[in-house]
Amino acid sequence: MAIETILIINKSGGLIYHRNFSESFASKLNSNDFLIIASTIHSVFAIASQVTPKALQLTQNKVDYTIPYIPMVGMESSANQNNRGNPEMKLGSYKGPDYFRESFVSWNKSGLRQLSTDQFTMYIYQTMTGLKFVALSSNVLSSHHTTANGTVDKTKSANLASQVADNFLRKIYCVYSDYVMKDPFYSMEMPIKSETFDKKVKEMVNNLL
Amino acid sequence: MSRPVSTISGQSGLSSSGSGAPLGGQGRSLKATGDDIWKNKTEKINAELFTLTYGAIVSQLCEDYDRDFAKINDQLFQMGYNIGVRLIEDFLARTALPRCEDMVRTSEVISKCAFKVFLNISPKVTNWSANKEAFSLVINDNPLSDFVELPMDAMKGLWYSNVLCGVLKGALEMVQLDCDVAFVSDILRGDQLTEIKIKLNRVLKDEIPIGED
Amino acid sequence: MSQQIIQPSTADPSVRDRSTGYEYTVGPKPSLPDEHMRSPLTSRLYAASLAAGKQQVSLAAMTFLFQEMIAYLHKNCTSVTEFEGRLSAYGESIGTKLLELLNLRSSVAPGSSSRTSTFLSSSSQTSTAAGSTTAGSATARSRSGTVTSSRSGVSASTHTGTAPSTGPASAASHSNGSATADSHSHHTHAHIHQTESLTSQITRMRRRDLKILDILQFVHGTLWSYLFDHVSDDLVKSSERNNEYMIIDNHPPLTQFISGANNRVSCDYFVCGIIRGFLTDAGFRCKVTAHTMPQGTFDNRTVYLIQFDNQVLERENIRFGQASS
Repeated sequence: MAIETILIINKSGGLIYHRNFSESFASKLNSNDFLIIASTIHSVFAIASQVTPKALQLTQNKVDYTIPYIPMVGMESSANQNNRGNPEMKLGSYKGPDYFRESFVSWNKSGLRQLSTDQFTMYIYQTMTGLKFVALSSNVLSSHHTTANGTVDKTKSANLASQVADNFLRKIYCVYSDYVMKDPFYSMEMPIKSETFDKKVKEMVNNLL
Repeated sequence: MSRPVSTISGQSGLSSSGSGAPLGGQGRSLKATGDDIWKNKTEKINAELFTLTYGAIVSQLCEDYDRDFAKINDQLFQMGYNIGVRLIEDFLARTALPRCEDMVRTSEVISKCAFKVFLNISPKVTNWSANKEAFSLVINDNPLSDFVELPMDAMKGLWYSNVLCGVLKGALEMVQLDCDVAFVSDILRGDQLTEIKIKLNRVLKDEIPIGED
Repeated sequence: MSQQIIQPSTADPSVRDRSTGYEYTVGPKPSLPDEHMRSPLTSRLYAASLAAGKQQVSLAAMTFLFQEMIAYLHKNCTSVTEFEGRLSAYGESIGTKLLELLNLRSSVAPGSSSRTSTFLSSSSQTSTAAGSTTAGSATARSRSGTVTSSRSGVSASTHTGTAPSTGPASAASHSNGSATADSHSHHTHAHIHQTESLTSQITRMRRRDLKILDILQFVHGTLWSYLFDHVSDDLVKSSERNNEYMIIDNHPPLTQFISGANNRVSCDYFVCGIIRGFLTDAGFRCKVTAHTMPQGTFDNRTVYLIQFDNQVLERENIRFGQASS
C-alpha cells in the first residue's frame, strides 16, 4: 500500500499534522488547502454517521467491528534488521517486535472509515478521544473484478486494505502517544512540530511500500 | 464506502495469525490483558528512580510554595491533570479497549489494566455508592511513596500522591467522564489505608466523538 | 581575671529550667505535641528492607512524570541557563541520596544469602527487637543454620563469605551482649527478626573511592546500571584538559521523546544533576554539562562532560603521586 499523505485532525477539527510522502497531486495543494480539507473531512465524517440507512442501524448489534491483527504492518522486515546488525528495534516505550499483537475493536462504528475514488483511497481511524488519523493512499480499489464470484472479491480486497490501514493507523497512534504526548514542549491540540515524530512516521510509511 | 459486514475469516494467510481475541473481549479478561501488556509490551525503568524523581518534585514544590500545603496539593493535582490528558492517549493506543458501558466497568479497567500497565500495582475497588456511580480505590505499595515519611506539618495538610488524583481526573475527562477524584486517606498521614474516591458527576455526552454509536 | 569555676550549663538554674535545648541527662525531647507518641523507631520506614528490589514501573509513566516536571520548570524559568540550573538541582538532590544507597548495596558480600526485599511486620516486634538483640545473639549461635533472625544473618554470611571476613563478624557476634547491641544497633536497630535486612549481609563496608578514575568507574558501571539497566556506553578522558572526563550515553531513555535537539540537551541536565550530586557528595567537586553528539544511528547520543575543580586534581596529585596522564 503506497501511502501518499498522512493527516492528523484534533477533536475540534483542526489540522495538527500533515505530511506528504511522494510527488503526486496532493503536493500541489498548499498548507491552507490542507487546513480546509481537514475541516471538511471532520464535518463529512460527522454527517456520514447520520446518513447510515435505518435498516443498517437496526442491525448494528450484529455487526462485528473487530479488526484482526495483521503482523508487522509498517515495521521493518526482519531481513533488513539483521542486515543492519541491530536485531532489536527500539519502539520507544513499547517493547517487542511490534506495537501490539492482538486484534482490536474499532471505535469508529458509524462514522466515515474509507473513501474510495478512482484516483486514491482515503482511510480514517478515529480514537476514543476524538483524534482522527487519515491516510491517503494511491492504491485504487478497482471496481471491476471479473471472477466467478463477481463482487465478492472486491469486498475481500477492500476489507483487507481497510484492515491494513487500520492496523497501520493504530501504530501511528502509538508513535503519536510516544513522541508527541511525552514531549513537554508540545501544547495540546496545537500543530505537531517534532522531527522525531516525523522521522518515525516516514520510516513506517516507507516500510509499508 | 466499504465496511466489514461479516466476520473476517479465511481472508488470506495474514489475518488473525497469533492474534487471539480482542483485548478485554470475551476471550481475555482485563487482568490477563493488563498482565500481558505489562510483562511483554512495555519498556520498564527502575521504580526507585521514579520514586526519587517524584520526591524531588514534591520537595521542590514545598520550597517554591513556602509550605502552603493547600496550594501544593492544588499544584500536584494540576500537574497530574496535565499528565492525565496525555496518558489516556498512551493507554488507548496500547490497549485499544472499547468504551466502558458503566462505572463498574470503568473501575475494573482502571484497577486491573491501567494501574498495572503503568505502575505495576493492582489497587482494589471498594466502597461502591448506592447508584454505582462512585467507588474507592485502595492502593497498596504505592511506588510514589516508597521510603517516604512526611514531616509533622505536612502530615496534617499534604496529600503526597495527589498527582494520582489529577491523572485520573484528566484521563477520565478525555473519555468524556466528568469525575471528582480525591484522596480519602493516606498511609503516609498515619491512616490505615491509602484510598482515593472517584465519583462520576456526569457523562459529557456532547463531547463524545461522532461515530461511536 | 576571674577565677570562677566554669560550671556546666546544667548547674545554672536559669539555663536548666529552660524547656528548649538538649539536656544530655535526659536525651532528646519531642518538640511537637504528639511526637513522643510516635517514636521514630516504630515508623514503618525503618523496617522496610533496603535490598535491591528490582521494582519497576513502565517507562511511559516515568517519561510522563519527567515531561510534567520539565513543563512546570519551563513555565517558571526565564532563561535557558536558569532552567538547566534548576533542573540540575533536582538531579543533585537525587544524586546525593544515590551515593549512600549504592555504596551500601555494593557492600553486600557477593554470594551471601539472597537479596529478597521483604517488607515488614508490626511495630510490636520492633520494640522487642532492640531489647532482645542480646538474647538473640545467644540463640543465634546455637541456631546457626537459620536465616530468620538478623543476628543469625551475620553468622549465615560467615558460612558463605570469604575467610577474612568471618574474622570480624564472628568476633562481633561472640563479643559481649551490650557491645554487640551497640555496634549492630545502628544497622539492625529496628530490623525485625523475620525480615532479612540488607545490613545483615554486610560484613565490611565498601571502601570510599578516593581516586577520580575509581569513582568514575563507579558512575559508569554501578550508577548507570542502577538508573538505566545498562552500563554507560563510554567513559573517556579528555585529551586536551586534565580535569575533563566524559560519560557517553548513546540513547538517553528519559529524553528520547523530546523534540528539538537543543531542548533535549537542556532536559539532559537532570541526569547531569544526578552525576554532579553524586560526585560532589563523594568529595569530588565538579561541574557537569550535557552536549549532544550524534553518531551513526544514534541521533540522541549525549555526552556528559564532567569538569572537576582544581582542588580535586591537586589533591589527587598530592595523594597519588604523579598526575594521571
